[in-house]
Amino acid sequence: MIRHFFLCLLLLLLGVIIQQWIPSMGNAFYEARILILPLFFFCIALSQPYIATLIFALLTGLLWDAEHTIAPFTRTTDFEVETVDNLKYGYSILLFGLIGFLIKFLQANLKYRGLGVYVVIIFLSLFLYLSLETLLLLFIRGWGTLQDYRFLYQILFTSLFTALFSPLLIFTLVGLWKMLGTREKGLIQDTNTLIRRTY
Amino acid sequence: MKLSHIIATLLFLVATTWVVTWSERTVRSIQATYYQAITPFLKSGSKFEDASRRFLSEVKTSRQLESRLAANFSEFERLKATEARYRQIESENKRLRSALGFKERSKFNLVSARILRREPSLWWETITIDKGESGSIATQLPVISEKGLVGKIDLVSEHTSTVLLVTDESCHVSARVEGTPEFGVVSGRRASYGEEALLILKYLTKEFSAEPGTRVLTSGKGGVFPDNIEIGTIQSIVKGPLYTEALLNPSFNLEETEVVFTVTKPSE
Repeated sequence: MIRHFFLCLLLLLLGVIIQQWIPSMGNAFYEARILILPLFFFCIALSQPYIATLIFALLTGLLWDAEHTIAPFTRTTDFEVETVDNLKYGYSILLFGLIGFLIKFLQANLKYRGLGVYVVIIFLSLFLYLSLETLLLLFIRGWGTLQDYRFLYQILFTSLFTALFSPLLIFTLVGLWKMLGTREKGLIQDTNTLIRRTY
Repeated sequence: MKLSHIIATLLFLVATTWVVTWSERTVRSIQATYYQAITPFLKSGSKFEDASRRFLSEVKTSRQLESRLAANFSEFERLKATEARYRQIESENKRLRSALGFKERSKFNLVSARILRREPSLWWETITIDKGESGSIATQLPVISEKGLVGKIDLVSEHTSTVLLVTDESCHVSARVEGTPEFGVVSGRRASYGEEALLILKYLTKEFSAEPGTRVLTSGKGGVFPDNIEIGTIQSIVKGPLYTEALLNPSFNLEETEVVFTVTKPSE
């Protein structure tokens, strides 16, 4: 259990490093990108118990906001006519926690489990996370900043590409956990079943 | 739901609330430490992105490159003529300055920096540059390019800094329209798909009118940006019930820029 926890922690930090090497996909795909850090978190949430999921939501949120949040300034604008607020550092912890909770709920209540289902869960989780983040941002900055619905395509393609990339990570995780002699449970059990069915 | 889960959820909410209430100083310090830790990976990631960008640009057909070469050659000839004229004016200017006893000085102290990463986040218009505290960079310093205003420093670590671009909605700049007494506030405007990011100049008088292409410059009134730096040129004007707004084409083009300059302080 402890070994798994530290392995997941190591993987999360590895996710931060890998993220630096992944460029956006350009205009053709609405500047979408594969978001490795949330993907690692969703995979960890699918394989770890509820309490560990909450701890990882906290860690992922801290790392995510350290890279992405623009901290408030003592003087936010050059001209004091109006100010535009930004999301507070730590907002994503709550979002990751919420998504982690939903993942655990879905996982416990789904009758059919398998890799395909997990990929769909990852897609929906990321889509929900990015949509909530955008809605929060629009709520804080004002709806006037919304010029068109380009952001929806951006969210859609980002979620899609990240979800399509997820089997690679899931198989890697399963391999690592098997090396550590993990009991077959949750994501690992379902993926193993799938591998047995395929081959 | 088990009791342990309820307790864990409550502890999680308490921890989240605690993080959200962290002071700006703490957040800045955490972000600086984070960026310091990822700097080596950021730099190698930037090299990888540069290599892939170069590879993609090399894939372009030779015909495109040929026509570009021809266009560049004619532009080169034109620039040679312009430069000859510029040299002539420069030497005349020097003679006149010398005659008047003016001390030549540059307006700004500039620190050059290479762009490591463009728009790493989905929502914020930011870039990461390869100069940080060790290169005399500090937060809120203006960043310019040879074309005009780029933005301002948002976050500084030891060897890298994040620049909030003028095209972001949260970056507001006090501006004036060249050749008119009009002042306003420039901010970013999220681009529609396939369009270049535009700027919006607000709070102009109802009577304001200007030709497309008129330059918009910093006014220097806000205290963050020095005056007379080009921000963009007017594309179109939108009349409103209370004030007029103008859409601007930014002078700075992120795709074409490799090096930017941070204005550390005006020369004494």
